[in-house]
Amino acid sequence: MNIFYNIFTNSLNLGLIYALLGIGVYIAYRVLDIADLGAEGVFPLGGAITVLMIVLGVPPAVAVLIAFIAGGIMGLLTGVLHTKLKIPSLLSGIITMVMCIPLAQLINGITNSFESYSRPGDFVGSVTVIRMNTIFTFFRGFLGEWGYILASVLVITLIIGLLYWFFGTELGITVRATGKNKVMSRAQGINTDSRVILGLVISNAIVAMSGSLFSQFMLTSNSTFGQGTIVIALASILLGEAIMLFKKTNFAVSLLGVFVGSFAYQLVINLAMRVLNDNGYLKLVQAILFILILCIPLFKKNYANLKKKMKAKRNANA
Amino acid sequence: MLDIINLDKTFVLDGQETNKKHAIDHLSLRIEEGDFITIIGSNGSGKSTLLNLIAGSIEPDEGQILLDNENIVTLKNHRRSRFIGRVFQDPMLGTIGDMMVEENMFLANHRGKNTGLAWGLKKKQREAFRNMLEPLGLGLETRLGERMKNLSGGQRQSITLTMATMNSPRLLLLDEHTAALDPETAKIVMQITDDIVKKAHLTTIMVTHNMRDAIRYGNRLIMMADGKIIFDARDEEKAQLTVEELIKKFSEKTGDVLPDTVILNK
Repeated sequence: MNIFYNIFTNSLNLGLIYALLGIGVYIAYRVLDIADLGAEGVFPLGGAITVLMIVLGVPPAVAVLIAFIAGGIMGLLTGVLHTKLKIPSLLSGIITMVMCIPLAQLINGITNSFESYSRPGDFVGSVTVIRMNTIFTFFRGFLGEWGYILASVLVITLIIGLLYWFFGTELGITVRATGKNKVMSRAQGINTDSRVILGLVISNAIVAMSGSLFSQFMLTSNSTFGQGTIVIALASILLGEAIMLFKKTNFAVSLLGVFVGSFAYQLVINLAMRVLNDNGYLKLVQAILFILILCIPLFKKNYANLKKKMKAKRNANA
Repeated sequence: MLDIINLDKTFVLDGQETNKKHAIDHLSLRIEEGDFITIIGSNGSGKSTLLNLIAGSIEPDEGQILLDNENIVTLKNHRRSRFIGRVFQDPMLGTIGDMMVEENMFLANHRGKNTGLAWGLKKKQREAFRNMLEPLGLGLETRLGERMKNLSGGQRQSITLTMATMNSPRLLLLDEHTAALDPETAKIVMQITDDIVKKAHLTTIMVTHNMRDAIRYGNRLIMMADGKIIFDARDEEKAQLTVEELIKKFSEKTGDVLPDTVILNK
């Protein structure tokens, strides 16, 4: 029983942190209709900055904020590359990702130079800080293990609340309109370039925040953390939409759906990893599960067709 | 009011210099305040290109567009939208299906104003939107909270029209806005168009495939071919026109017969 309890809490922890990642990617992917691969680099960058800041004595909450801002700056870069320099969005994201990873490595190297914090044998670009004071420390103090979950829940609630507010404001409505129909938006006098940039800034800022929480949860920062984050994010979004069944309802509910998807995804992954008992297969399992999730619409269609056929057969027999 | 001077646009097709299309051929046109102009012409005559040039979706190679003596050619598309209202042929293009009716109307109502962090949709605004939709007689005033995609093409186009004419634009551009609708709905939308334009005294340019509409509505009719204006009639002269005369005029001027698609649409 203990094993399943561990899997459950671990999935809930990671599910919450990755839900933040999913929400960030959701802004780019669903609201702006841009597949922004920059998340792969922005995620570890957010983590690296956070760990350095905490090591330098910055309060964890402020460190999260700094990571948030840094992510926003990388989103600004992707946005400017795409809208002003007319580079296709997919490439713009990849360029940002490629730039972020060595940056994260560099920052981890700086953190590593404070020798007392690093473990011998860690390769450059990876930092492990065991005695780190994190945003979770305070909550862990009086809630133990559930403190982690409470802290993540608070952060996510805050972000969903802020996003719900923002996308209901005058400015937010124009960002949503830009993502849905640029021709119409321009005909309504909206500067669509600036709205795309703003959306990418928000998206990447939240992704960096997720990386920040992830590093604080793991007590490490590694420039390779980002590998496969886009798969995790998109899988969470799509799985959430499949589970929640009402794809285009209220905006806040959609974001909650990302969390549900993220949690379910982590649960399946964790169970699979328990069975395989080898962490080396993690990304492979994630990718295979992602393929299955992408096929959900196809399964649904085939199932509906099958049901129709069965019914027709039954009617014919009767 | 609107002065188009020596406007010229050539499209290079498929990136090949040898494959060019002279869409607008040194065209000049003066539009007076309050004119309701209908433009007809065969496919590829440059009607839609002219509207796109005025709205700023494409840039001309040469020429000026003066709105009240101010050159607007260098103004970007979204900047021009602040004083130009526009309705497209495709009902799906003029409104956003995934957003609510009231959100779509909010965007139009906010055209040209600063967008800040104030809450977007207010109660007072909803009341105003309801009052705008009521005269359409389509029962849309009760459906503000519904998604646009749940409405029919005619309903969507009627709302787009209402949106395009909010805050009295200085110019209204209609690009075959009834062409994608069934004949009955097209008739209703055309009637609504005429009501709105007359009531607000809007300066309007309407491109149409429908010759009868071109004659029935507006105070001035322009026929285009190969990027040029080949016939221009206004007021009295226009009121006397018939479809047969127009077809005759077309073959006289171009030495060509109007394509079936245009004639069938009469």
